[in-house]
Amino acid sequence: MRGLLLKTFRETWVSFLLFGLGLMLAISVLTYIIPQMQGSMGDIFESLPFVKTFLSAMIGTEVGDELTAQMMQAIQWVHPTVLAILWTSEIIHCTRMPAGEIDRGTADILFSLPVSRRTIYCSESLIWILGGIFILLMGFAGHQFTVNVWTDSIHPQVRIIVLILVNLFCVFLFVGGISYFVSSLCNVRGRALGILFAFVLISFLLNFLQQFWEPAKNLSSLNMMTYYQPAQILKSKAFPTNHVAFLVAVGGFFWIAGCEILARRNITTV
Amino acid sequence: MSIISAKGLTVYYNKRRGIEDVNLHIEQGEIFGFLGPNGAGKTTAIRVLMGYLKSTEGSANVLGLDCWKQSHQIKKEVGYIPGDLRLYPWMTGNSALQIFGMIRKKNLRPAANEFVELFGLDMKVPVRKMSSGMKQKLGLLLALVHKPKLIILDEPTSALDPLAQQKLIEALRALASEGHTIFFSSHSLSEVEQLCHRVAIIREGKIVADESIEDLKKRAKKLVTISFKNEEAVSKIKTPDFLIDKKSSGIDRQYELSGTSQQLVEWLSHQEYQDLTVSPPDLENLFHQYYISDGDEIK
Repeated sequence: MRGLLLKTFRETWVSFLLFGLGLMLAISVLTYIIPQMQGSMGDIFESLPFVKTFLSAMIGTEVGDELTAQMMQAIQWVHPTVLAILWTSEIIHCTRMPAGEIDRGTADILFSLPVSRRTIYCSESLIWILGGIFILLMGFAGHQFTVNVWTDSIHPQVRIIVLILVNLFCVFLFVGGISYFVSSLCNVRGRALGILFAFVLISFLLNFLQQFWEPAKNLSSLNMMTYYQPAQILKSKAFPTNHVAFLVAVGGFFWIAGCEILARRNITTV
Repeated sequence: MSIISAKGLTVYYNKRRGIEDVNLHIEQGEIFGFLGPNGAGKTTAIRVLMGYLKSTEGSANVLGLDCWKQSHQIKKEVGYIPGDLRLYPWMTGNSALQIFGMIRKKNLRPAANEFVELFGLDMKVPVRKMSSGMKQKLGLLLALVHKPKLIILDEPTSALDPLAQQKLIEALRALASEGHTIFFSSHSLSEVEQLCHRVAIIREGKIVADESIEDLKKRAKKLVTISFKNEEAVSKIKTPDFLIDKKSSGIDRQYELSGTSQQLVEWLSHQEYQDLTVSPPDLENLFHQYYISDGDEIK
């Protein structure tokens, strides 16, 4: 497995590094800017009332007439930029194998090696998980840098930030599990990418629609964003056990299903 | 010892035919040619042997192990080069040896030197900067370097220049003499004739011939080219049964000889001719007959 890990690492370390730096920069800037906007949010709500709905949708809890400092601190962890960086990085990684390998024709060489398909799948997945941890740690580093060096505003304890990061990592596992499942069913990487970007976009859209459209509310249990609510964590200061369990269980189920599909499917030429 | 054994192997891609009722039996040390036109099913059969495709019907074993269920164990002893070779663009010869060596749990460098020298490879150049011939040579190096018991080559000479083709053929002969078995797929008769002990011809998914090159040569007919003295001599010809007309051009006639040389000499003694050429058995012609598609009888 060491050889496979080395191969995957050589192919992916640059992208993980770039996505990590991107997330660090994004979180760092958001941590600095968002507290400064708190005072002017009341005026914005008055002139643009729909912004309140959007913010409620984004942080996953009802926003009153004024945003509390606590709610403001949640925004950076659900900001579209942060989620886009995280999801893009993993969708790109998780569709590399088998869809990407079959698509670019290198699958014939990869699968000619004396390792089982499950081993190949697991080694790719190990790099994906380590890469995800690295990217989130870079985000955490960006947050801590701004809190300690760049701004004087009050911020939550490190313990609470870690809880949010664990929840976010579970969202990462959920999306990755589904990405591997879709990749295992596809021969063309572009098709897998299209399906997965549509999936995360619909999840994000559903999260907004839930705020003002009744039918969408009924689908909330199917929406992954329902299981990631940093504002609730900041408020309760408790570990979101149920949400984490759901995300890991469903993500894990799809990941295992993807592994079994790969082990049993035909490897064709495109 | 049987290295490859396939019985009634059939693969369908939904309703499209891949291969039908393919039977193969290849012994250790054999150089086995697998010949057929494009789309005949050569690559499909190889993909079943490599464990990439599950057969719709029939069974295939390599080294006594099931090709589908025990594929990764088989691959410890198999070297493979696909027909449409694609290597990782970032990979150099050195990094490929390092990674493949780690996976195969072998130090491949000492054995690699022999092939690096043979093919004139620069091991520091990444694949993205290599010519197609160089990529093919690196692919061959990676297929041969661990000295596998079975070497499966799917049209391996397609991107090679004639000199490299000759070197490859010599290297494969040497490997076979050491007991390695070679499965050589090609659509070129000349290289199969030059290299292989036995050949199977696949056409439209079915094996239409499986015999030694020597036996094929015995069945193949000699080509006879006769230059007659003049047009008048040509007009007088009554072609005997043992000669089959192939070509005619002016006073030249080309025939396929189905009888004996003695019959030919006797017949010629009554003809007015100025020159005679008898070519060795024409395998090319025999293979063309096998390649003829639908509606034509297979001889």
